[in-house]
Amino acid sequence: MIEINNLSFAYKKQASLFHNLSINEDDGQIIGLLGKNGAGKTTLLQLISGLLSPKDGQISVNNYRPEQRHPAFLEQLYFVPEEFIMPSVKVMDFVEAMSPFYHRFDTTLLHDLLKKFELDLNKTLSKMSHGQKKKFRIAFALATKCQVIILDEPTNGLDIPSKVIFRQIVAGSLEDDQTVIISTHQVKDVETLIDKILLVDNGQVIFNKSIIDISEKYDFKIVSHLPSDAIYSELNPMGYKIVTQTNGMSSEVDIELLFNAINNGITFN
Amino acid sequence: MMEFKNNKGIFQQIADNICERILSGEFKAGDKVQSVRKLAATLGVNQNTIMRTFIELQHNNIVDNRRGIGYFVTDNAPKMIRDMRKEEFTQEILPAFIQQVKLLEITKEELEPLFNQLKENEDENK
Amino acid sequence: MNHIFNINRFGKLIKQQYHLSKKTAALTLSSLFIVYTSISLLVILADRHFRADHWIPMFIIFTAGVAIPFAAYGFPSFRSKDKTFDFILLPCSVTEKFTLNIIIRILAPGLILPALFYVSANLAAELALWLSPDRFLEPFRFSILYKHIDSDQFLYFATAIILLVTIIQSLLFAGASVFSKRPLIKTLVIFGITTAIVIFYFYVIIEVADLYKGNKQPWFTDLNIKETTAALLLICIELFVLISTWAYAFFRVKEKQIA
Repeated sequence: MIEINNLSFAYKKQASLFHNLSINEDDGQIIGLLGKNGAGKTTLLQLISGLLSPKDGQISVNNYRPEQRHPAFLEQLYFVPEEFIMPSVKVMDFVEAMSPFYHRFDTTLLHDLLKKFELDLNKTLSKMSHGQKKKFRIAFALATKCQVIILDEPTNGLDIPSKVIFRQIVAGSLEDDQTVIISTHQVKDVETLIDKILLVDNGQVIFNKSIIDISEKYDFKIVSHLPSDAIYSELNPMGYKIVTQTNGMSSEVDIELLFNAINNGITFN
Repeated sequence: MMEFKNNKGIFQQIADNICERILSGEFKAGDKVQSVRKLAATLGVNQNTIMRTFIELQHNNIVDNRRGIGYFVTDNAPKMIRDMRKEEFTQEILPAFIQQVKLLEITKEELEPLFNQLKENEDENK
Repeated sequence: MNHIFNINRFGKLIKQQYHLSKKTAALTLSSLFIVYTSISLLVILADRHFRADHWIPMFIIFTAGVAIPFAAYGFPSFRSKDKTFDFILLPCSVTEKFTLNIIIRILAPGLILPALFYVSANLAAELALWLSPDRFLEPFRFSILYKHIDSDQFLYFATAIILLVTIIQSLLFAGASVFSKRPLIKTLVIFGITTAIVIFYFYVIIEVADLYKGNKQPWFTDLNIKETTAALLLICIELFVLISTWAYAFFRVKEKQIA
């Protein structure tokens, strides 16, 4: 359970980044955190994990205040940042060092995921390529079985087959009480994976809806001529990409189109 | 106006895929369909979406849910699917097809493969 | 209390440290051993009449030369943003993480470095005697270090000296909790400035204000106290400084943010 009430935050000597931001998210979802560059996606994730303290307002994650960095809170959170440094130890040693802190850690799952990503337990972490390190951290994160898993730009640096495997392992390794927040610019990489879109802009959450909800209310399609009932349209080699109200059938949500529509001031309800 | 792409929702796509596999005989009546988690893992699709698919299929009596065990193909699933598909065919595909036939001025000779197939279907049902 | 300090979790933290730095630690200790032994040997060989007292400056330079930068580069995670990130999110309390750093960066060197010096110095002495058996050479013993201390007040002064050393380590250690880049230099500069201000203050009150005018003595030159009391007072002041330094460093660690 992630609850944010009237959060305000600003970096030292900088204009405020968030102002009165509020979110209320239940467990058991995969949330896609989207936003333009500099919208504060990473900052929001760092606030949720207690790396930064809010200037005003409250954050509550599983009934803990993240900024207090309570060990029982930290045991339930795993954050894979976009950039990180790995120690120069073997994969096995890292696992032996870090896994005891997470009491739901699933070693069998980890070995399974490492195999899928073709990572070797005997390899030294610091000598791996960026993509391999990232895959290892993602696999480790899922194996912790933490209630809150945060992945900041997880598919950056992953090759195409790895992106497919990434979706498969995230979709297949979660328990009912786990919440995953994925921040990304690569919407296509996570389109089928997320069940909720959270869009931040100008210090506020400007959109917060489940994909199923959107797919039942709106149609996303490509047409040759622009119909009068299009809520939003974009030129496309075949004609237009459009959003309309639905005619009853649910359609696949084109998140990129949705994102652009929202950024152009279209409201969806 | 012509629609090039009107994607069904993801859960609809998955439901179609499962139906396809039931029709082709890959899943037989009484068979257990892959678990939600397994299917999510193979397709890389959110578990809630898969759940949604199964609820839809269950609603249409194509699978039934045995608590704690999983989803199983019902005895009359193939018939249910055929009925649903027929409805979709007569209501959506056929009118669009007829419109194309009209637009492109298609002649009887050009549609010969279609008539052959219709004849075959009739022979089978005899 | 469980969220402040849990012995089980602290055990996991120590094990974690072991798994992540066993190689580096083994490598560092063995290179130190080689460096200590070879430099000791060179110094002994350069002096045909090597008295016990000669060991004292060597001991101080060798141990301080390692202990000071080691303390000043405490909290190695704070050297980079990415590592600070992992440090904060590691599921242990601040007290546990802080205690571990105190042990590794202050207490452990205080025990390990003298022991390492003892072994190296005696090995060097053996080697020197084997190379040229007819030289005069008094071996290194820990008693050399404290035989100059007045035996009546031995316990007090030994405590005061050990505390002083710990304070120096701790001040540098506190510097490591504040500065992310070049903590040693920055802490030393702050040390230097503070010392200069204190000296300047005394210079002003003694010379410029001329406190000794007309045979009058300022109060602090005429404290009529016993040596034992003085030593105790010193120890109390040292303990106060030590605890404040640790408390300061603790709060720096507790409030650390990702900048």
